[in-house]
Amino acid sequence: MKCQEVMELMQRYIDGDLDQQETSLMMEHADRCSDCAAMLARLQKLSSELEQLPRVVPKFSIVDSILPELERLHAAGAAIGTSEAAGDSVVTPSPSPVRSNRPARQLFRKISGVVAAGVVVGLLLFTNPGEWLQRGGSSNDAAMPSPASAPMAKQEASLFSASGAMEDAQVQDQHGDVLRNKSETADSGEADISEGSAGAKNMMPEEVEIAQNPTLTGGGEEPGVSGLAVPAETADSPNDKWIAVAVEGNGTLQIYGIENNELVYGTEPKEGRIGLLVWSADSAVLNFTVTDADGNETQWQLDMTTFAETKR
Amino acid sequence: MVEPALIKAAQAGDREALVTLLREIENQVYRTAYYLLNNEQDALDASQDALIRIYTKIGSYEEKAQFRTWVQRIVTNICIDKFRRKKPSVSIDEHEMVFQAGDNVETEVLSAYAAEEIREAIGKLPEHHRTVVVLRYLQDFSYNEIADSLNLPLNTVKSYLFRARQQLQTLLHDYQKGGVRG
Repeated sequence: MKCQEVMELMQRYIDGDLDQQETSLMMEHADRCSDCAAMLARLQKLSSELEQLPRVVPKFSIVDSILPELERLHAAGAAIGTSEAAGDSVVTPSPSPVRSNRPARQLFRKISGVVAAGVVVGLLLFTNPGEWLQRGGSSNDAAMPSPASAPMAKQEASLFSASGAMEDAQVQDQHGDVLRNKSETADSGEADISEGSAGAKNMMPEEVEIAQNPTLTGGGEEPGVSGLAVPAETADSPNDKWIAVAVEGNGTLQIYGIENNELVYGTEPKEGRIGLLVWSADSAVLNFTVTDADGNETQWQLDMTTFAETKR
Repeated sequence: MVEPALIKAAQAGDREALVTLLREIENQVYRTAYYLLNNEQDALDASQDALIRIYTKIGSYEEKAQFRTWVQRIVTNICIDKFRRKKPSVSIDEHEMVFQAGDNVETEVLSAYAAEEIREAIGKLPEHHRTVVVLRYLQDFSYNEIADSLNLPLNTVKSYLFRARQQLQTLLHDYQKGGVRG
């Protein structure tokens, strides 16, 4: 009997799949072949270790966390097979622009977001400040090398809004001066910008400026109406310890310490727009709302002690 | 083991029964997701998706299948979809070797691998091999139950499982050698 055949027997032996005769065939071979005997010992050890892997349990009740969603499905009549289509659309949203941004998200999350955005924006500003100041940047090749980069450009825009918020809190950044100058310029033309937002379409520089707006006006506004505009919303915690920043576009929520400007926590990207940031009176919980591309809202809360994000 | 009566009630539109049923399977759903995705947050997200899908699809469950294999089919599909979207699959071809009998096999056999190392090694397996290992060891499924869950022929399940164990054994073997040298 060849070792390769014995290998199959040993594998099945481990799963308790051998009959008496097959078992003795295997054992006889292993008695004579030290390689196979050693292999059997290693497979047995591996198998028993696999059996002993920890039976992990979720840190909170997952069913509790989806109860509001189930309630909504029930109310919508989508539950229990009455409307398969509606159920599907909730469980697996069809490929949407949000989904297709994912590779970019992944890429950018790996880079230390805010710093990278600062550098990117700095470069954009230095490369062609004139165009930026005139807001006529659609022909700026450096900023928009190809249509394919549009999702990434949008990502930059949303990250920029985060760095803008940081700047508000006086982050020391080598590009700070530039950003501040830019802020003033944008500020003076604010009415113009919001008018422009409806017609902004795919012109990336416009998005950047719109994204910047809330940091100029102190935040807390309703997100813009034009799906393309991606204003960040911010909210200070009642105990003045934290500032929550909803980074639109990549759909994350970040919590910074107000004193040291350090990132305390960043959520995983959500499928949709984060807004309506509301702190509990004791600053222990931050409530927020995620609105997906179809306009469905889900209520979330972030526990500031455990940083557990749960649906309400 | 979920009571058939509970499943029937849930299918008949008893919402409370359905929620109770979800609570009963929540941990087994999470366990699979956790070991497939190798990340707590992703596992929580995938489990939520899976439970919501089970909630909406309970009517399509047919008694001829085992309920737990039906549940595992849903959660493994969601996880596979998730990690396909998340990262390009890493080829394991360099580990695709048949077994290697080292000189110091006996001494290695004596030392135990930490659960963490094993979990990492599982994460390096191709998706189907990983799924088969998780169902076999974290759900205690038989070959047949794995075949039902993944809609694969029995022989394919065996070959995936056997190769997965050889790969794991090689990966952990390499890891140890690396650890000793490094």
